[in-house]
Amino acid sequence: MSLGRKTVSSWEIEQEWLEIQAAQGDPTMFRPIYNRYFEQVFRFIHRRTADEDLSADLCSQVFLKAMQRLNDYAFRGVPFSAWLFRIASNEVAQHFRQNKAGRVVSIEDVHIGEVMEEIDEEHNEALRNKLLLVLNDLNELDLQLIEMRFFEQMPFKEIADITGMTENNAKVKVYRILERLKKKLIS
Amino acid sequence: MSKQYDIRINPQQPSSEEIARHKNFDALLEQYQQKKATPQPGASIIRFSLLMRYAAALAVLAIAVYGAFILTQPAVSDVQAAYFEKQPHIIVPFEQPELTKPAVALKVNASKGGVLEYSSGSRLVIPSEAFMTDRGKLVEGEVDIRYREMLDYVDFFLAGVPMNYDSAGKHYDLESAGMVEIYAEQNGKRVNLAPGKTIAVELVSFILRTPNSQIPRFNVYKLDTEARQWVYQDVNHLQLVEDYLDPKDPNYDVKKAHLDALKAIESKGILEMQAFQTMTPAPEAPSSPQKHQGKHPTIELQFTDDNVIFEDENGLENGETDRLEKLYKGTIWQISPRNGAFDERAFRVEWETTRLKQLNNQEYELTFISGAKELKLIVSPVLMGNDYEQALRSYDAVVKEYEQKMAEWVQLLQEKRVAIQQKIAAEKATAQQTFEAQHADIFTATGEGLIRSKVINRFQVASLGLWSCDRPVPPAPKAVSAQFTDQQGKAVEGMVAYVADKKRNTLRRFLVTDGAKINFDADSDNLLWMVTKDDKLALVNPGQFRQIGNKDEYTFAFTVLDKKITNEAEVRELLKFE
Repeated sequence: MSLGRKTVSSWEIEQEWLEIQAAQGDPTMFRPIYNRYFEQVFRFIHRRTADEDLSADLCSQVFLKAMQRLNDYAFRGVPFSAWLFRIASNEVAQHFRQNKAGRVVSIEDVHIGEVMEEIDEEHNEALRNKLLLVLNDLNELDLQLIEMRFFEQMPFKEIADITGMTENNAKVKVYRILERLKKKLIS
Repeated sequence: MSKQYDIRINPQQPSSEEIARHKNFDALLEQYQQKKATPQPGASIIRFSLLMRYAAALAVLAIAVYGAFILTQPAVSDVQAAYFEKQPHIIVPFEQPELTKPAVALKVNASKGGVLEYSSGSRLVIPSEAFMTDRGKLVEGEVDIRYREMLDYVDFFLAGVPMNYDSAGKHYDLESAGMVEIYAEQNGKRVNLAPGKTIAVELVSFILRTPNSQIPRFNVYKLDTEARQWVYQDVNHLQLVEDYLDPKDPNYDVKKAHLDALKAIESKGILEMQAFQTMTPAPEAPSSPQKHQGKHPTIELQFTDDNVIFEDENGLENGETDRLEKLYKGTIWQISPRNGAFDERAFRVEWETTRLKQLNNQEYELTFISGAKELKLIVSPVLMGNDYEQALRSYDAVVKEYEQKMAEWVQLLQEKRVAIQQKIAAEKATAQQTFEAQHADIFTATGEGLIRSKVINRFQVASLGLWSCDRPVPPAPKAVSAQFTDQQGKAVEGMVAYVADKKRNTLRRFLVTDGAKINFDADSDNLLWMVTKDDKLALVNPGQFRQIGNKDEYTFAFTVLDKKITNEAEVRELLKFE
């Protein structure tokens, strides 16, 4: 299940930058930005918590931090949404760290098939279960990259913006992780 | 292998509608503003700490240095504005918590709402489901409502509340009919009002007004701590409390005599009505005839016998034996099963006296007395055979007659009541006219010019925070360029000082600087003071204002009161008008 994002044109990014500048001067002007991204950020968090109330709490916290740090945001070609998802990702990680619990990874069946195709393996029940086990072995950043690329269907550009790496670096990292997964699956 | 992630396949995702329920930008904005305005959770007011005082001194120093290097000195008003822009909007003058009026905390069930009543007579009406968390979740269970009132210049001073208001480029003072601060908490954490919910406030306070004048119009403002200004919200619905009497009022005697006269008129009316009702008793309701139940024993009574005494419902002995004999003709007295077991031999004995007392429409208490012996029985009048049939036939007519009489009686009472009310209203109007004429004379004679009236301010609060019932008034007409010294004649600068006017319930604050412009009402009493760095009050003798006369410049001399302030009462005592 994708998060319902659409590709943002550079014109739209520039228009949004004007909105952000207005909100930097007057917090009430943050409303259209909030309305635009609330559902996306909520879904992003919910996929990592599977808890509606907790998602609402964390989502509110994400937007509050965004407002508090809005003056630190400067337009450098990175969409504002990526900045928000980076805050959201940190909030989720912080929540689970504080609660000493493993976070949720939401996966649709169809996306498991896509991972299998990517590593040239057939999609059967035994391999599927094994994949879930090896995913559990990944560190947080590696899992995030696989999660965003395959389970949330994000383009590499967006993954790079959220994680703060270059697009090329994100691609290289994802394919290295896939190679490691493949080795573990066939071992 | 340990599980570091909770991997879920095809988990249920919330719908857009479910997500939208958690969306609430207004709550987020309020939370943002609160966090920005109050760096410490739970603190509604930022203290004017010693550090800030040093900062204030530095600011003054910086301004002075800057002034030395430029050809044109900044205008005094610019210096004032520049200083206060750098300060917290709310400047609490004392650091001791006992000098901050505490909030009253009352609990309310968030789901049901409720009415909270305070010792001042003020009330809050909280609707059901009125609160939500800062994350948009509806609050259930008990919520602490933290409420405090600020009613006069001492309250405003101690709370550090600004009372300036700028509109269309003009500066005004806010003359207040009272302020309230309302916050809500659950488990020590602030909660907000839910969108669309409002708290109805009934704030009991006092206003100053000229005698015989219309009640002045006050508006409702909310302090926007982010924008650092009061923001107009609505018109304040003000109601005068007519029977208020202030013991400190110099015209207490005249007012008391007037209120006593009004009360006497009311009492006279009530007594007249009571007397009329006594003189005009309601018609007696007829009892429906009861048939003798064969299984219950009966006795007969002859009212024409001297030894039968009848008591009416008021316990009075009724000697109209002939009438009673006629009334109870054919009646026998059935002994109620409520009596339980009794010795039937009692009826074979001749008793000296028999008393009959009506208990209700159907029952009587029958008492046989002989010397020290006494037997009480509950009995009911019943009829037998033809007597019963005949009574039943005439009962309908009796009831109709009773209903007619009853309607006439009610009408009569109503007419009397209206007549008395009209008489009371006319007498009160005359008393009011007399009082107002006397009152105006008294104020003219004493030069007081204002009366203190108790009022109820009614308004709706759509968000939590500091709300005020005010009216903007232009600064007092007389202005003087001021210098300030201590009692030794040494120049004083860099402190925040306050001016209160006896005739206006407001407070002006300003930075003590050479050339500061002080507006004041020369026809009123004015108080000027500041708080020293060691938390003492330094006062300007009110007589100094009277010495200004036509001068455009004046040097005010502060006298430090060598007393450590420890509570609000001390502040009130030191800052009271003579």
